[in-house]
Amino acid sequence: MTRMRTLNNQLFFNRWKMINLVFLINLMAFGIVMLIDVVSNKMTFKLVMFDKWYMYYMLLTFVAYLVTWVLLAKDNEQVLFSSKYRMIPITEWKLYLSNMLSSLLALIYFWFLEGIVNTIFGSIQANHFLVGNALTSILYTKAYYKLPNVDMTVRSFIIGFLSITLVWSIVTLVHFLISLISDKFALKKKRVIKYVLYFLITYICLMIFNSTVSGVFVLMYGDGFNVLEKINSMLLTSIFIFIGWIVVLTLINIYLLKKHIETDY
Amino acid sequence: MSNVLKIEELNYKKGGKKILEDVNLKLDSGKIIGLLGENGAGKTTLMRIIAGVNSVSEGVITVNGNTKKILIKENVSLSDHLDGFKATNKISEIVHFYNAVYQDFSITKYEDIANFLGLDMTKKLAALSTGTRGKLVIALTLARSAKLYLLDEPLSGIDSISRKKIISSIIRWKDDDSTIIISDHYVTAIASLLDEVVIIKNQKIRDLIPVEQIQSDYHLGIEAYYEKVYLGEIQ
Amino acid sequence: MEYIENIPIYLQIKDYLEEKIITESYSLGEQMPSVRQLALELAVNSNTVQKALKVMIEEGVIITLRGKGNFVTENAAIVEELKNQIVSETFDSTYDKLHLLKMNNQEITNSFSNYVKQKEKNFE
Repeated sequence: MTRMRTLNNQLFFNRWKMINLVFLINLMAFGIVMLIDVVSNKMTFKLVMFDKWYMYYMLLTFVAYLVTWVLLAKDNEQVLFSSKYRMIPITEWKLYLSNMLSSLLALIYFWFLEGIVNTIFGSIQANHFLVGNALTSILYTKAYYKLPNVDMTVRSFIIGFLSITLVWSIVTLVHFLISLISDKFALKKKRVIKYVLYFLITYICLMIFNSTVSGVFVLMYGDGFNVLEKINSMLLTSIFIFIGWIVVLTLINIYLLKKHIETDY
Repeated sequence: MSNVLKIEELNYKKGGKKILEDVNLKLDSGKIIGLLGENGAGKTTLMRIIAGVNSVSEGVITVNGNTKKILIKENVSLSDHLDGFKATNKISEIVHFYNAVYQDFSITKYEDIANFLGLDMTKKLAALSTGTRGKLVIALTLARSAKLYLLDEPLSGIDSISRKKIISSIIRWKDDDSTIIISDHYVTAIASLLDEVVIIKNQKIRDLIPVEQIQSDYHLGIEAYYEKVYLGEIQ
Repeated sequence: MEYIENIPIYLQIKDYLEEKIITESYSLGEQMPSVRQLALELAVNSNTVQKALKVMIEEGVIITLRGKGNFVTENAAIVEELKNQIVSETFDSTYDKLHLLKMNNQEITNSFSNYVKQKEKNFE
């Protein structure tokens, strides 16, 4: 029997390489942007440019996040549909969990890399604080140096993390259902039906999800949202709702993987 | 002799179509069995069902006394066409993966086979010819020490020199108590290897027949027998 | 080695090995190659080689020594007998066929010696 840790290492290593590549491209694109800026300013360097660069960097990072998210989701799906992994003597739930786990680890690794760059920017900015413009002052002072509530930050972070897991779980479920339906019935125009199903199932999932979340919030905080102290406990509730949904989806997915889902190649 | 593989009442559908129907099969260990049938007859599907990669909706598969999927996967080495690997993967990376995830994978056995077949560890998957890729698949599959090896068309599209090498490596590295099922639609190349033959036709399996029985009862070679079965001249 | 498709391979291998023993490629008392070696050399399954050897062991042409392997018999009479057997098997069908052509024994002998002479001539 293959150990879960072994599989984890294998899966994570591939994604680790992928993340490094994305990060490298991100940095290179950023380097090019800086270079273009310096060249078009007749090779003079002003500290004001630095603020502009930071904005560019944020923008590029945002794109990189999206790319990473999509690449990881794609890889996550491919593993479950590939003989390369399905042949391995490991139970379906271990395969599923280590697949999800290594995707999440890869994402954390990406956050970590971006965090390093951000810290570098932050420290440069802090040293030249007076020269910076108003926007960056607000960004740094508020976001980095005057965190109002550590607890809340941690909770928001967890929420971000969980929502990504949740969306990946939904994507997997959609993918599984599509594969299940096209396996059971002879479908003509498979591609068209595939995309229709994709939209339909995603829509249904979002609807169900949305109504539960808002339902719970209305029940718990029906007396109004704008009380600041309540935001924190609201985040906590969201965390529980998210976890509940992830657990349910994971169980359904593992059941489908075990009983019905076959490899594409 | 014990049954290394037992298939009972297997039915399998995909996309609303029957692929396999009422499959029953018992294989003794230690033999080399040819799984013959036209392209699309369900040879690959049957192998993947046995290996636990495809799911069984109806029927029971028993490998070496095990019915649990995970234990079956431990006992079966299926030849994977390596489509799950990236084109940029080096052979060494693929070997490393196999070595990590299969506990019964022997790196020394792999190296012996790879040396015999002349595989170069530093080459990338995309750079391999069909023949070399076929050799890699065989080396990876045989380097596990399984009870049952499933070789899915190991010789298809492969030149005659590589074919001979692959056949030699199968003879050389098969343990006496392990069993090999080889599927092919080009029979002659593997004819001299086979102890027994299973033919898939019209979603059904014809009984297992020893090659010597084909020769002594029908006075036919495997190829001729197979053709006659397909043409309906032998029931 | 090329095989005739509709004749059991183990019989063809048996013929091949017997020929090697008679022509002393494997001499009396010599150890035979291992089953796997033979299987590789002949490009067949080792079960098939095993089967051919089993028949030859039953006929006494090959002797198994426990833990040592298979050896060609040391008894020259057995090999001689084997050779005679093959010779008569080869002639059997020819003789029957010529007999069907209403040739008598003298005619058959004469025609065969003519045939051999012709062969020698062609060879020169």
